[in-house]
Amino acid sequence: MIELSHIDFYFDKRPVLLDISFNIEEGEKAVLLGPNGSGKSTLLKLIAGLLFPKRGKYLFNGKEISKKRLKDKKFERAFRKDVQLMFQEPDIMLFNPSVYEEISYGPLRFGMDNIKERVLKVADFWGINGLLKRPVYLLSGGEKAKVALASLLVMEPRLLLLDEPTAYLDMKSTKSLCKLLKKERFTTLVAMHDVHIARYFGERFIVLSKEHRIVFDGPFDRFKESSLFEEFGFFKEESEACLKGGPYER
Amino acid sequence: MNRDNLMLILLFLCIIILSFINNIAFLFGYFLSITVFFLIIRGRVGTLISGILRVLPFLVVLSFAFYISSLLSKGHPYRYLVILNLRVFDMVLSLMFFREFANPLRALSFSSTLTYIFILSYSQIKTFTELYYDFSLVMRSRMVLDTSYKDRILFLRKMAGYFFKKAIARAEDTAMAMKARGFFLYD
Repeated sequence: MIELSHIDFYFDKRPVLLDISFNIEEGEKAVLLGPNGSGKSTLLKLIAGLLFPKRGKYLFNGKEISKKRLKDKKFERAFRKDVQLMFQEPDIMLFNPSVYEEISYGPLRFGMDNIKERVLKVADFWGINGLLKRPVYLLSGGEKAKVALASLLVMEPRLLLLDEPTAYLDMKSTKSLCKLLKKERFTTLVAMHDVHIARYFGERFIVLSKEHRIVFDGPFDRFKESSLFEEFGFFKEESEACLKGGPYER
Repeated sequence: MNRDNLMLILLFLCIIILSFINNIAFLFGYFLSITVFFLIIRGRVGTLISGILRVLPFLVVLSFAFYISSLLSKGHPYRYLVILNLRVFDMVLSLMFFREFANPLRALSFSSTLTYIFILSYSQIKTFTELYYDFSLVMRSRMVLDTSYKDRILFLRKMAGYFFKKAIARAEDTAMAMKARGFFLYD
């Protein structure tokens, strides 16, 4: 579904991503892990077709995503419908008068059917039915995060990109999100820096280093055994205890 | 056309009418009726007081400057000052009245460009109000009592620079988020 090969990205002259290459298959659940400032958010924006690499190729379903390609409005429409990105700060992606209009914005914009049923279903899942008439800018941080997630999930995307989705969520909502991502068929790539929560969001770990390069790509169990695990500030003894009594169901 | 669009038209009409009327009795009556609405019908004493308090410093400065310039030119500014003050209060109260009944985002829904500008402005105002509050707390907690004048200026300069950079980054991010959700697809 996604193929990235030798991607380099710079902000001004500062490198943000260097020689990034990996593929993600349809339905795969992957986690993008890395320390602060390693380029996780930039990589997600690049996959969402909002930024473009200075070097390298990015293919989505076999088609290269470039500025030129996205000038084709028909293609852009299909691409934006398929790929949904949750930003690190949910606040900035909410721009409609009420919660109902916020959630129904995507389905309306992309001409989907049964909009009301879709909105009510997703609102029910996130427990925000009571907020549907309220203006979005009056909500709390956690409520905004739930509305942002609902607005993306209502689109039934093929690829869901989440940038630190648990930052504003309480434990119960984090658990619900974990379960939902596991149950649904769509492909997910979740950016995080907390290893202990990250392992519940996907089987495959793609790890970025401070030097903006991929230093690991594989399953969690292999990552746990690697020296990188300790470099991330976790110790095996602690992690064993955490894995046994973890808060989420696997 | 929805109710919010109609409220917006009504607001513009009120502002135009208030700009051209110089009758003190009318302006005072207008002020009184909206005040009564907020105080008695809606019971919003806090909203009314905070609205008036926010515009008061601006009016004091403006009135004082006008008063001085009138004295220098040997004019009689009192009537004009009353009209000016009443007019500004009336306009602010009209805006509060509009805000009470209409959702500004829905009112601007006829134009995606206006909606876009409103969202960007509103999100910037909200962010910077919160940031300014945080910065004032930071200043209180990080500055020791005997900080030199030079250090304070340096701190404020850094703060202004940070605000400016943050404004640009946030505006870019908001535009990107709107693009990702298909906002610009049909423009």
